[in-house]
Amino acid sequence: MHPEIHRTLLATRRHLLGSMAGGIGSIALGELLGSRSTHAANEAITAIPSASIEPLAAHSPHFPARAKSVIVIHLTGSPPHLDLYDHKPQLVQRDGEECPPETIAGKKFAFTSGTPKLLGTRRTFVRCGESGMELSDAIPNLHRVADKMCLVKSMFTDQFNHAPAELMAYTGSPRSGRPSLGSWVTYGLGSENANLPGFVVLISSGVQPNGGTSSFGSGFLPSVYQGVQCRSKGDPVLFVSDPAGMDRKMRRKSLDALRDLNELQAQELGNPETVTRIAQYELAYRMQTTVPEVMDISREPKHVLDAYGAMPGQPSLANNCLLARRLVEQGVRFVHLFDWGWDFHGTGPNEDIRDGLTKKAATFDKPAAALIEDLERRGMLNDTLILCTGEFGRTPFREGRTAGGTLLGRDHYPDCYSIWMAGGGVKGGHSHGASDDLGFQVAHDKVHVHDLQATLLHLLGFDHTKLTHRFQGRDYRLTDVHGRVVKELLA
Amino acid sequence: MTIRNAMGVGLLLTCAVLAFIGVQHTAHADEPIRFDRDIHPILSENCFACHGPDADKREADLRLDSLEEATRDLGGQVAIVPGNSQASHLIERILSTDPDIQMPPPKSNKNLSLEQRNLLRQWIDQGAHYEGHWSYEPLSRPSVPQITGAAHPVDAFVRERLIAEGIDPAPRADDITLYRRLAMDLIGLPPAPSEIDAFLADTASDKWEQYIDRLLSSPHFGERMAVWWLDLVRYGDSVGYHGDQEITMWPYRDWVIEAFNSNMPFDTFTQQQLGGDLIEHASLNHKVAASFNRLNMMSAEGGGQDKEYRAKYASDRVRATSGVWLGSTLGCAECHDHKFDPFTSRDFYSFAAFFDDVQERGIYGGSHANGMWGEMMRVPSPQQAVQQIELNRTLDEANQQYKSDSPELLAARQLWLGSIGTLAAWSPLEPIAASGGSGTLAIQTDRSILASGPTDDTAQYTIALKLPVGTLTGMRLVAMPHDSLPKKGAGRAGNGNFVITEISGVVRRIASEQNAVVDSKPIVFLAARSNFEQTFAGNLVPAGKWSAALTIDRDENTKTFGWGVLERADKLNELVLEFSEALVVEPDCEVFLTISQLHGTGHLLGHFRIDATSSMPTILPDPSDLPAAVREILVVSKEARTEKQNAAISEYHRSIAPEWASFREQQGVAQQALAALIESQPNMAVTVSGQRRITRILPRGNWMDDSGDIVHPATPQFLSKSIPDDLSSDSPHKVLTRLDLARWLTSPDNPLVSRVLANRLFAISFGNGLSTRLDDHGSQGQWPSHPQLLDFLACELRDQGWDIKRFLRLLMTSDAYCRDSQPSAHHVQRDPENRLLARQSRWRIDAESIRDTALVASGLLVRTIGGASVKPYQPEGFWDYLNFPKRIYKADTGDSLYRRGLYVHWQRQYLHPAMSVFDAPSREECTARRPRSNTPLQALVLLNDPEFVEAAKALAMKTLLSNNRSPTERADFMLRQAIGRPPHATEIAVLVDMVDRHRATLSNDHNAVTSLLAIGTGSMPPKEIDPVELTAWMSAARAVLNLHETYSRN
Repeated sequence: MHPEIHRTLLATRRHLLGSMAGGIGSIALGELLGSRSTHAANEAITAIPSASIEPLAAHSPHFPARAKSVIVIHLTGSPPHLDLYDHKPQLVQRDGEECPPETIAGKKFAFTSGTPKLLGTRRTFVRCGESGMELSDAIPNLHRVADKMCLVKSMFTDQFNHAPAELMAYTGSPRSGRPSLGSWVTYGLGSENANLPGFVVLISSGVQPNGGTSSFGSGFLPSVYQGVQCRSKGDPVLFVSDPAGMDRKMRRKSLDALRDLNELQAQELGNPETVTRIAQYELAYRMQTTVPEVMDISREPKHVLDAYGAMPGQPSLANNCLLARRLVEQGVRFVHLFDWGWDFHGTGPNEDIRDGLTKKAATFDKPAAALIEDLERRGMLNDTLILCTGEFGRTPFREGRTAGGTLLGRDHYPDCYSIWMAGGGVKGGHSHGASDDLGFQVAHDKVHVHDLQATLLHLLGFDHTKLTHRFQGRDYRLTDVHGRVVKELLA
Repeated sequence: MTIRNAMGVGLLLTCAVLAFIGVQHTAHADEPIRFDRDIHPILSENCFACHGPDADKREADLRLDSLEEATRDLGGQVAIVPGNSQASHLIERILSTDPDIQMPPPKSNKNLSLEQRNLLRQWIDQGAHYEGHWSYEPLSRPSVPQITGAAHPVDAFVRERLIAEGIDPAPRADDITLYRRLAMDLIGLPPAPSEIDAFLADTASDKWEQYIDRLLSSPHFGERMAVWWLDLVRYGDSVGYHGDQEITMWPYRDWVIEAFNSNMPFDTFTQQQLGGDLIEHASLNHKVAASFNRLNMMSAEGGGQDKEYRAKYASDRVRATSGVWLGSTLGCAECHDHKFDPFTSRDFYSFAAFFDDVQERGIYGGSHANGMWGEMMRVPSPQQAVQQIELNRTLDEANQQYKSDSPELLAARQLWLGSIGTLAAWSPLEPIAASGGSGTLAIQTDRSILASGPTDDTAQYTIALKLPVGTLTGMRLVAMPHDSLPKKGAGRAGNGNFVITEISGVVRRIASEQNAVVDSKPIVFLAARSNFEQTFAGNLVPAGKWSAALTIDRDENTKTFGWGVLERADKLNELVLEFSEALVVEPDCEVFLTISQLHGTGHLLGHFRIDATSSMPTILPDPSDLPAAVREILVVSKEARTEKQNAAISEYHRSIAPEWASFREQQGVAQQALAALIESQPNMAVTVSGQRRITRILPRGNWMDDSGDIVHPATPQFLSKSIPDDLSSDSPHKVLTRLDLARWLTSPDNPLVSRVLANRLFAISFGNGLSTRLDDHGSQGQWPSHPQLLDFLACELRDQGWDIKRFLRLLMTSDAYCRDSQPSAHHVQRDPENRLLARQSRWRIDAESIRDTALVASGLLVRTIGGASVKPYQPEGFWDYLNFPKRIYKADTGDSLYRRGLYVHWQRQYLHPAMSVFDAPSREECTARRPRSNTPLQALVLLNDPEFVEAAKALAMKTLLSNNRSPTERADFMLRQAIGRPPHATEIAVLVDMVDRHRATLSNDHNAVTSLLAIGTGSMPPKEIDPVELTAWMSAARAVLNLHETYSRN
């Protein structure tokens, strides 16, 4: 470079640094404050925090957190909890009887009308671990970690179709347009690794969630808090690879020139956004190295791959469980896994609660158990909260359309179902709540999805009533106007 | 205060910062307190949730949003005593520190500042004057202040406030910045350097006005405005829910572009979108406009509840329509009365009822496969419409010729009729038993017999059938094609054929008591005829045909030959057997048929039926493929046929007469051409008005609860007061329509629509609205920085014919619009958000314009207006997760790759990453304002999206092919393409230096050069350009197309 240009640029950088401290930095700050502190006048979305404020910088929550990061395993379609977690001997005894009228009176079901027949599980339940938690033979590997699991058998929600129920579970509202759980958490906590997105989404079994991208969208929060879907094919993050013919050295040189030009223009026009832009290019450059590295599970030793049942290059829930650990290890706050294929209607052999469930559960049970054990071995389980759930439960009766066939399946059911958590401040080996004898209603200790959301936020150090964002004149929160922290679940 | 406020930034909070926020939103010490500016926001934010319009949630029966209610005696306590804050209970409660008494209660997370408490106290002491909310107040034209040096009304209002605040305005921006600003704002495209040069060279005193007019009349103006409007109305190219299937709506988008280009008045624009289909003699364009009502998301999810989704679509329309026109959050009243604004839940559902004539379904089951989303309409382009008229005329002519008669045809018809004579009346015989061969012969309910199971080379079927009492003259075997048989024919041979080699019959009488044959007599056949005889392989058979006669010839020499039908094996064929003498059937008679099929290679009957007739000889087979209706007529004797029947026969004859073949062909060609033309036209979802659905108030928004009141279309109660009578929902005889809604919205008395529109158009020109909350003009919205100016501008729209171009011209001819956007230190300190407009604003341009700018700078842009949405390059597998059905994204080729961002296919759930990453909304909901983020993912798109890499290659080519020879000239040329202004020497030097370095590296790396130049599908560089030189300049171009300034509007 010509010495004269070099001197000019040095001067520019000094000038910029000077401005950053007093001038430009405070302009950005002013915009931020203007938009955030005068509620009636502004909405935060109108001024995206500049990178000079670092929207993804790590933040402290309201009070000390039990969990620093979250891994959600969402079984899209909703697994048959009565064949996995909630053992109902009376339902088995009365299998084939018509549902008692009071259990179905006035209710609508997605695919069932008339009077369906009770369906007892065909699985065997086993008492596991010191706690004696009852789990079915479909999930033998989870038996090993029962004492780490916190099972909630008294969940309920308001929605009985997939898309609205899934949105309800992750955005607190059955309609699209609200921020998702992961976005709220990233909004509140930022990320611990500036070279990675704060909120990563991984999808297995080939189909996106029922709620579409809204299930991990940022809604009215700035898009920087939206889940970044990392893909198993092609670039893990879109456009993270340089084009063919552009090596890292050339990329660096290009970026240097670009930065020089941007700096000259920042000086010329005094636009703080240009300074932010420069920072974003540097971050992008670092991401180009970091993302492919963390997403490459072939770097794991064979025994780890085997424990999860992970196979590099083949998209699977097992791979994604392992990736979730790698991402959390690198400081990602929220990893949301979606696995398609849990809609056990019994309309095809893969949706039958006998062999079909055995096959599907095998793809989930092994990596889920391995994830818990792996996190514990690395001393990360205490700080990492795992949540495993569907969008609702499944009926204690046989799905209407298949009543005449040979396959056994269950319809969607919002009134009572089971989920489990592990690590991150929840009680291990704990079963909470119960369904009634036939599994139709919660018998005691009801937990609504909003309660679960409040509890998750609590574990992350947030008062769910105070983690809010102003939009269209209203302070919105994940739990809408509901939600109660379920203290009984906390370790 | 949100948690994020409390974090990080809190430490940096300075007094200075607090001071300037105070300046803008509250009164000066010497100014009286104003309710709507100063007090209403405090009450709305802190009190209305429990003491506001929502009756369900009201606490202590206290309502603070009206003077009457707030001053009511509630058992010895009065919240507000005007003029006496000490006696006002409200003041006591907000000053209390006792958690049980304190208001707002601590658990509400609301907190009044000291300043706010003082304001409330002063306001009560000054008399507690209530005012209506600024945006709901009747709109009247404020007088323009007389300010020296500010002749333009916009400047008068702006300067008045600046003078009061003691802030000096920024100087006028330079011409280059101004012209680029104007182009970005009005057409969304950066100007070419030559245009800028022309502007600079122009010495006309009114050149600025001229350029405004020129840009306003550019066809690209409509495109730019459409980007804004499509966000509001949530336009998409996919249905949004569940499988997010594609749907055709783009004719609506083109209508919007044209409406802005032709400067359609906003009231007409409103009317056509909401109710174009209801306009008398609605044109195609009216109907296309009315597809606004079908822009909502839709679902084809299996198991979804129809009723639930219909409720969703209804509330979607209320949110969108109230958001677009009223700038109101009426959607909040779906489950309860609005918390802050006087909208009731009844208002919400009454508003929804305006749309309850729009025909639609809740769940569009099957639509994911057939692409039909309820009511659809073909939309021909103007050229196609002309073509269609032409083709219809051709078809009419062909039809006329076809319908005509000629002596030749009449003669042929007589001959044909003569050859048919009177057709025999047939009735199927009821089979009793059927057997033969290894397979099964099963009797079907229609009395036919179907063969299945194992098959043989040859076989002999024996069939017993009941005979009706009476006289019979003949029988026939009808060979019937069946789906289960090879080639869907009537035979079991692999080619669908059969060969009947011999057929014989015996009539038997059965004594019913013994169930034994008491009499048996063979039938003698006089003749066997068929409608069709196979000629394929005719050289093998004596007569050259596989003829019917062979089936009764009793000739041992031809016993493996018989009747075959290969060429017509998949159609009905019949073998008519005429008896040599009439057969008188007595009771209890049956016929026992033996059907020999000795040809071999499995040529056996697969599906057939036996009929009998009493018609007089000679019994002829039916002509092939005779329609049942024609057959019915031909059974009637010639003399007995009615005129209508004869006409039907003539009509049929036309359709088969060889003499008419050419007319039929002409007809067919014309029909096909017309069908192909229609098929090539977009098939879009349209609004069809029909049977009104019943709309009920859904308690708590619960779609399963049918207990709520039935409501009829009505405008929100509190806004309807000053509305013309004929639009009042109180009128008992009239159900208001969507057209009435449109008239109400743009009636001169509607206080909201003109304010909302003026504010949003202001934001297009200044980056921010006068009220920065573009989506909410309600209580929780923002007090405008210049309320008088906003009202003035709203009046300009309302009273000057809703003229959008005129309005934008007004804004852009102001000094305020032309000011420099670079703030002075003074500005930064006094007014960091630029609410007072002492300067212009600057911002990163929208996603679409980013794409357009790169394409303009590189010369790649294809400026075609309108048409089907386009698919640019997109990372492979980006759509892998879309289901129902699975889809593979196929990028366009050729010109479609280089169209404006506006035309990029808008997949709501998987929007093109170059759009979504730059904050283009998914368009699931009405979006009045896009956020403007600045993220590393944006850097990755600009660096690596092949569209931008290709643009860099094109820009490098353009540079090297220009007349500029020296590196300095080239760098200067290249930068100007992107940023408009002449670059500084230092910038040029950086670029030249970069090219030098890259050239040095690339000259040793042939592979890199080849790979980089292979990106994109556009034209390859001409031979005279050295690839290494081109690649080096391509690197420079990539830097230029990544500059922040390239994508900034200053």
